[in-house]
Amino acid sequence: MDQRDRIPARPYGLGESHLRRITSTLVLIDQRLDEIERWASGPLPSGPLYRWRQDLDPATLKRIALEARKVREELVRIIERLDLQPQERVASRAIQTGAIFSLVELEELEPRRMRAYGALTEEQAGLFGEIWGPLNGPLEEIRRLCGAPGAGGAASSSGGDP
Amino acid sequence: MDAKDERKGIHDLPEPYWIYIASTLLVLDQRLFDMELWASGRTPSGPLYHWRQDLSPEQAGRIRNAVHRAHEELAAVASALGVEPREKVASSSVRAAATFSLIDLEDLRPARLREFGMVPEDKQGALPALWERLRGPLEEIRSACGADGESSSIERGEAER
Repeated sequence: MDQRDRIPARPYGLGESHLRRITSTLVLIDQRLDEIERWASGPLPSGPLYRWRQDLDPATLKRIALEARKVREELVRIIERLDLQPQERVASRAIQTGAIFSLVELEELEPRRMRAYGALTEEQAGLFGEIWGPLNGPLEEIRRLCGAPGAGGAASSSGGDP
Repeated sequence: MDAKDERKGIHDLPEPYWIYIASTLLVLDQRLFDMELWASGRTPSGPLYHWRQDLSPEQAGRIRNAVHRAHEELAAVASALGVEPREKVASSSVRAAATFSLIDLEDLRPARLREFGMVPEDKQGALPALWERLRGPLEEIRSACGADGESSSIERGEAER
């Protein structure tokens, strides 16, 4: 058996690194399309610190939705041509990552870390802790509910079938 | 101590503090929205990725409760600091997403892909043709949102009337 028999032919003669790069780029575009469709049609995200204003008229929204659908159709065509495999994401991991990053950012608001922005008085430093402190509790709880990193989701760690 | 008194102790902070604090809180707020979305089962999906809900309904419910509490705490922090909510407009976000996607497509040109190994010479013309059909609709989306800083389609429509 020679080398050509053992290595399956790759589309367009691309190597593994090429395909990884292409997949990750196309996944990014795919995810952005989801955001575009969300902004153009569904309920807009909002929170105490930001609010959305829909400034696109219905005809423009329709045009955007149509073009987004075309991009998705092209993505499907490319996936078939390059034989790319869809990636799986699990909810627990994504939520846990969000909670961990949020806790890290809260840590960055600690007075000792913020010295680069100028000196704080003792009173100001004390107030900082009081202000952010209550946010830690629910974020820690979210992280804990998603299980330890690498342990799988709540359903799988409790033996449930996903 | 009420909210006003609380801020009084730190209202003298230099501007960079406020910018950093406000942007950090904004990022936290957006992350909480995503976490709530994922815990609600309304997960995004596309041809290249799919989601698996691995949280039991009970766990997902507890997470949503914790997100709700975090949102309340965040609102209290914003109020204590006097940080006003920022306004975002759909057109600028859609345009940004389309623009970044077009930039990403540039990274798939054979010259850039060469950094990951040689692309066979006879395939170098075929690859751009694959991505080229993505470019048209993405440019359409970007142009539908108007140029940066231009008034939105609703505002333009009102002006014409």
